[in-house]
Amino acid sequence: MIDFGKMRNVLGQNFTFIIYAIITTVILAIVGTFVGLFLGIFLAYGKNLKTKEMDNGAVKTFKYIIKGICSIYSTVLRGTPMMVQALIFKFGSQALGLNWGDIYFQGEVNNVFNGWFFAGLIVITFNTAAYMGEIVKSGLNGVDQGQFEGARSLGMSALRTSFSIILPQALKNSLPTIGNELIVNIKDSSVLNVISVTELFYRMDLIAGKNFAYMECYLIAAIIYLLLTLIATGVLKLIEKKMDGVKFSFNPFRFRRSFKI
Amino acid sequence: MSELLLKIENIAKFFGPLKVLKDISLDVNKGDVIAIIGPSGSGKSTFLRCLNLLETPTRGRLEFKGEEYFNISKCKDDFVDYKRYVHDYNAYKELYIEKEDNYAIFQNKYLEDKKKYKSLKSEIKQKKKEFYYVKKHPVLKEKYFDNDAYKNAIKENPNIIIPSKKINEIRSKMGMVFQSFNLFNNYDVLNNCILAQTKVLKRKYNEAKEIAVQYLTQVNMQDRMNYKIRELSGGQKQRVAIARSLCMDPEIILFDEPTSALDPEMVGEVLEVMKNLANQGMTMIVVTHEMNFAKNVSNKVVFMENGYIVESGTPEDIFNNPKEERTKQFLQLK
Repeated sequence: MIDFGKMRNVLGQNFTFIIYAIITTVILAIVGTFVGLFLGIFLAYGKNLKTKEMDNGAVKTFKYIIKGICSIYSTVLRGTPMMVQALIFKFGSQALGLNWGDIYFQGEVNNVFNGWFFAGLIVITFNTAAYMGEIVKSGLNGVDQGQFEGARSLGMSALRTSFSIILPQALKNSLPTIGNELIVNIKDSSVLNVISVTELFYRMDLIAGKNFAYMECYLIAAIIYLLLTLIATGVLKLIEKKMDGVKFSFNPFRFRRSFKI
Repeated sequence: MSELLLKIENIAKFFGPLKVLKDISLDVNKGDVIAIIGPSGSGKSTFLRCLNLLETPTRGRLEFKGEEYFNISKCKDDFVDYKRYVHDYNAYKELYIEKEDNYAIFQNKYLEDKKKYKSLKSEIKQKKKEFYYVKKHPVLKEKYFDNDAYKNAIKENPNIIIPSKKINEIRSKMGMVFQSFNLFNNYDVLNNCILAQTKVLKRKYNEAKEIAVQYLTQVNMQDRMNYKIRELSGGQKQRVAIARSLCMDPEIILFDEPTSALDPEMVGEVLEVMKNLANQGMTMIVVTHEMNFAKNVSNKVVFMENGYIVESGTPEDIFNNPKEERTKQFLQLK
């Protein structure tokens, strides 16, 4: 069923294209996750806005509007598939006169950075932001209220407290979920093939059709996705340990005690 | 004559219908160590939190070193016509029950035998309509709130709520130590003491570090400066918290049950630090259940219950011959 010789041939002939596709996937996932996280922080603060009794009418209305926009954003973006969002984005921008396919660079760079790549990056970023908003919001709410009071009692302003005390703890607590989102993004970037972003799945699909080697190509894609997610998991574990203050070593041959004395 | 540091006038705090603080006035002079005692739930902690506006009082006036930083003489609750409200509310309750019963009786009768009471159907509809009309129009407190009178009263003596920048300035001069420590978990011991100095007082890092080391040494934590917060015991955490507030050079420190979460051994080490502070002439307000501390260290004891100050005086007076019956009962003196 699986022709390993064919598999090797396919790999050998299209090696550079596969590497470009891997780079595309990785950049989509990493940039999408972290810019999404950045936007998600604003979204979380928007959703967490609370009206105070002291606020006057204008401030209250402003807060309600911001809160409403944030919750509509996350409801819509979380409630529709990314594939549909990508297509709407593609044809929507075409209707406005912007064809992403027109943007291209000369030379090898075009294999990764082309118009469709940027379109895909925007879609994945704004899609991730909706999820990140929810993740960061729960992280913010999970931080003990006492931390806030402790900082305020020392005379720190609300903004300063948020950035120095609350947000770092919230992000640390939600790091596993953020990492999860990165792994999901590595895999889910494959749906961007509908707007012809040449990421890993789309490239392997093209190669499969050209060489009539479907099983082989999809198997290669699956293995590469698995490797990417395994690497991501490992890196995230190291970051988590580092944030926990536990010293770690990169040497895999180092003898480790199995329990602490 | 000692200098008046903090003037507290007629502080009240309501959480909706719950009146936690009713009317509290207290003068704090420089160098005073005031112990606030009282049963749990009597509003001691709320009172302390009202002083640095972590909790906004409903009514009252606060003054720090002759500078007014909070003044609300009239609150909205003062303009609600409670007599009429309670009267109307009771009448409404009776009407509601009556209409509900009326509807329920007919409805049950109908359900018993649908064929027999078929003629009742239109009547039931009428009763249902009446009941839901009453249900939809409850007696609201807002109707009894005299908005014009409230606005006029505010015009005469406007509420003073100073800008948040000024509040932060006053808070930095008013240290606070919490029952649950509230140290910053994302910094180590030393940086917990440095952070607010550099961000609020704009000190240079090295200068702030020197000051932090000095105060950490004072509370006997000099050899744990690079520890994480979670690696400390409760008593050590509380001592770091005291050092953290001392670093801001406060004029007064508020202690909110600093020893309630600790075991007897740790209570000893924290009380030792507080005793030293008192001897150095630091002004302190201590909410505490440690009667021995109140007796030996403080120079004024305040007994609070139900949002009022029941009795206040020197520790000798309060502990040896209290005037009020309730104080005797609380201290279990016979």
